[in-house]
Amino acid sequence: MTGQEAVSEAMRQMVDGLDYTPIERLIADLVPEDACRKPAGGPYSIATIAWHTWFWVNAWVVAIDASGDPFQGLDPDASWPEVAPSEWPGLRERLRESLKAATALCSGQDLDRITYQDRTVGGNLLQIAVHTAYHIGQITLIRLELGLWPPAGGD
Amino acid sequence: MDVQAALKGQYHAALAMLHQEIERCPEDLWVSGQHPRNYWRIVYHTLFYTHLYLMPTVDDFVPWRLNRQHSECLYELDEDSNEMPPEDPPYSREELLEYCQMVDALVDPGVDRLDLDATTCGIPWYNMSKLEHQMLNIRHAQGHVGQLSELCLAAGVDLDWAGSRKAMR
Repeated sequence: MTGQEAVSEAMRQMVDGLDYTPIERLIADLVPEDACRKPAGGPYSIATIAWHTWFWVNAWVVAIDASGDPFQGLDPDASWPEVAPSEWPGLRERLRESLKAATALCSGQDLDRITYQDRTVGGNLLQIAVHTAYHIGQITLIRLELGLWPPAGGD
Repeated sequence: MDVQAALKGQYHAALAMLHQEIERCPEDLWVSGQHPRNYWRIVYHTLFYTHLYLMPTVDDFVPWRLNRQHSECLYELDEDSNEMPPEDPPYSREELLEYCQMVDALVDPGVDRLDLDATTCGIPWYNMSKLEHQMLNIRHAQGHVGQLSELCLAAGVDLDWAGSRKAMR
């Protein structure tokens, strides 16, 4: 069993949703108003969590690519913005694209190569998988709290 | 890439966050939620399965000293009859902090003794390799940790994200 197999498997499970609802199904049927609605007492909408998830997936992908500033001039401590309903379709697409980019990076990489702040490629990829899994759990709970369960296509 | 070290780091990170969610949870939140998805039961479910799935096989599992049958269950015991698990009294936060620390201490020796090349996972209800199952276990834990963090945030309790890390002690 190799590191390559391990990170590929972690990413595959996170994206495909083994034993869980795939992230694509959790976001695909959300209309902008529902995506931007907050649960009672909750500080964040699904759209805000999706923005935060996209920000970090993208940051780690850029770090692996070594193609520039991972944070693209944005403040990583301010990664929970309010998202307007009009921004939701574009944000959803950016999240999808970042996950596709992360999945593509799981093959053909030297997992021990140092990326950003002494992290490694393998560490960044695993971090994408587990960090996103964490936010999938949050999105699932918010959908339940907002009465948006099950998503189209089933749970 | 040292896969075993990576797995350990991610287990410890998930358990460190769960530890925060036990420690910082207000008492009213601890017992909140509709049976059988009360906050404390989600914590217990997460610890129970993280513990169980760290074992080479289901036969190697020795339950925690205070384990109660079905307290780990968040769903119907039987989908056909809709029978729910019994409404047990909640475990205390101190008890589940102890369990959390126990599971965390099992991570390093537990991962070391797993055969990550095995084509079966040793858990009869999963038909997958051991590596796939370990990834599933970490994702499962993180998914519930995410749910609990959302409940904490709604109660005004903030938590710190834990990246890969070493054992609590």
